[in-house]
Amino acid sequence: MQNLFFRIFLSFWCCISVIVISAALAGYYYHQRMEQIYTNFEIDEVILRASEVLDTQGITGLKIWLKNTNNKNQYPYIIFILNEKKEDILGRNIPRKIFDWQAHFDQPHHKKENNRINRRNRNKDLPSNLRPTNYIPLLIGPDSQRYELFSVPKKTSFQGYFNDNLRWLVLVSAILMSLMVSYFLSRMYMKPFKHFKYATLKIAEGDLKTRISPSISTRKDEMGELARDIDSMAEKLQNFNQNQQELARNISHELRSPLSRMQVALDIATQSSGNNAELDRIRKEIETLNELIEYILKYSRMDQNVDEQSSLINLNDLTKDVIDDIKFEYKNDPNHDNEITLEAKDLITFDGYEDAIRSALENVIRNSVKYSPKKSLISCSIERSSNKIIICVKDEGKGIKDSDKEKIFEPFYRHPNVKRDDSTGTGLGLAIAKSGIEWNRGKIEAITTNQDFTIKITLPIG
Amino acid sequence: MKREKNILLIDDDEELGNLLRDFLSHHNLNLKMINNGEDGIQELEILQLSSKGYDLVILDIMLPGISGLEVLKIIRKNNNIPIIMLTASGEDHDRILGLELGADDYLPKPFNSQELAARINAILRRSNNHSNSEQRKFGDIEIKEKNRKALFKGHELKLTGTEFEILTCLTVNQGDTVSKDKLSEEALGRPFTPYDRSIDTHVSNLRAKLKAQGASTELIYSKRGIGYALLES
Repeated sequence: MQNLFFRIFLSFWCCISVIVISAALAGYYYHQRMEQIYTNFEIDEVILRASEVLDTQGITGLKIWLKNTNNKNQYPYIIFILNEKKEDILGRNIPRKIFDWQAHFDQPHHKKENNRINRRNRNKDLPSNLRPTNYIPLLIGPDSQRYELFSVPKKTSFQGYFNDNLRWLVLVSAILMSLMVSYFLSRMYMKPFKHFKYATLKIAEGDLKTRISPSISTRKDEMGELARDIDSMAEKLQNFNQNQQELARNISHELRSPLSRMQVALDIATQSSGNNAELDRIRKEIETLNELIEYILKYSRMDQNVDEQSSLINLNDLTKDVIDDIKFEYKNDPNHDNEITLEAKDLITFDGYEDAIRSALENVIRNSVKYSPKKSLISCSIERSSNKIIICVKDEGKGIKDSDKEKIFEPFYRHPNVKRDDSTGTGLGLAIAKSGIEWNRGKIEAITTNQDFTIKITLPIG
Repeated sequence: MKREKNILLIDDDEELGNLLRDFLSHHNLNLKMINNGEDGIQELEILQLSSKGYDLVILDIMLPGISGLEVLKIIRKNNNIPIIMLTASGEDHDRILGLELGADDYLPKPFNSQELAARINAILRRSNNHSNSEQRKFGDIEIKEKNRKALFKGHELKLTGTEFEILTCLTVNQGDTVSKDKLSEEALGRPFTPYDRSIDTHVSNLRAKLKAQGASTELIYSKRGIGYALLES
């Protein structure tokens, strides 16, 4: 029932079906009413028979005759005979409409009319005990009691009505027709939503060039309006993104130009006065500043190329590449001579943004190398389940407190126990990893136990 | 004394240019600076035919007016002069695009001037290394070192200096795998460093150029984590 299409379709169909069924019911009741009026006067034969029975066998005979007649199903009517107390001689409940009927013909204009039975039987000899004084035939019993005779058509059952004249077929086909009509109607209304869903999904994925198809955005109704609003949102996002890129390039350029000049000036100074500790220090700080600029840009994903399309990434190869690079980076560093292993049973691919994943993996693994003990093992693994890919990087570093598990992904977070020195870097590594993984709609979390520390990356499939 | 080499720097940062000229003059390198792309292209076109042309171009990617990448594209249309790009580190896309467009090497700003001088010399040394007049052949590939021409099935390949060096290095090794480290030393004059994809980019350019002449992309075979090798057809 969550599906809007289904709900619209169902409400259309219910609506049309209710109308069809009410029309059928109306037909049925009208039919019944007509029957009541028109059959009322075709019982002359019954009246004559009743009069005869009354005459010859008295009231007891009439009662037996009436019982038999009604049970015989001979006529499509139920015959009631009322005595002067307005009670049925068989003691049955008298249908309300008999009284309505009586009241109806008691009205003055009906009294003036000729009695139909009278008229119809003008040429017949009427039995002496039959008084066709009014619409309602009157019998006079041997004890001078007056008996009124009514006939009420037997109720036509629903089934009886609909069995007739292929009415069922009409009803069923009307409902089936309404099913088709409502299906096409709701499809017509729901069609733009498909486009909206596709477009917003693409935009959310970062493809800001996406626009709603002109067949919808040129419509003059509310759907068209919504389509144009989505388009203009995408365009604004695109502009915003471009401006940000521009800004990133400008920041990078403007901050790095003076750094470049400092660097060259420093090189000239070194050339003329030889190397010394102070110049070395300056060189180091220039490098740190430069690295910081790069990391800030990376963290804010301002360096993300808007035009970069996602592509199918071979995660096994990518991780291997990154591990090779990091091994190379720490090749000559005796403090970080960790063994790094990769375990992956199958070839696992992921449709995403390679740069972001690469920098995330790089930062996570480098982080492990930095903070785990000498010669300890760092094991990476890639696994795939039905709907996600899990990459784990496990090291033997000292775990962190549970309360800090989220904090380590915050930019510039430094663990209080970690001494700040040249080797600790910018404090942006894991923040960059998080931003890169989230750019790929994934999740990154830290799991710590007493013995080891694991960063778990979860990437969605499809 | 060796002849001074003429270097053209296309960069809008004049202060940096002055400092660099100062520094490079100690390395027998004569730097001329032009601060925008259009003038740089013109300067190269005028002097291309004269004998005192430039030996190498240093090109900044961030330029006012037409961008450095655009300048690179225009220069490469009819000129194989060695080009070193200056990029800001972090702008990986520009860097890779630059190499794809035919730059020989790149240096991220801010750079160590010693490193720049070393790279300039490495590239110049290579392009002047005409002494070896040997002809080399492997499969359909033919290298004529004398006039720095590479042929595939007799068709000339239009290669940049770095691409030529890589192909030569692969040809010399006759199908044996050459490590990225060695390729980097031979073609770029510097050791291979982590996170550096220049060799991969140059190789993929080479593959594209070979493919345009009908070669299989597998002709240059990649051995993951080790290096590249030529496959015998």
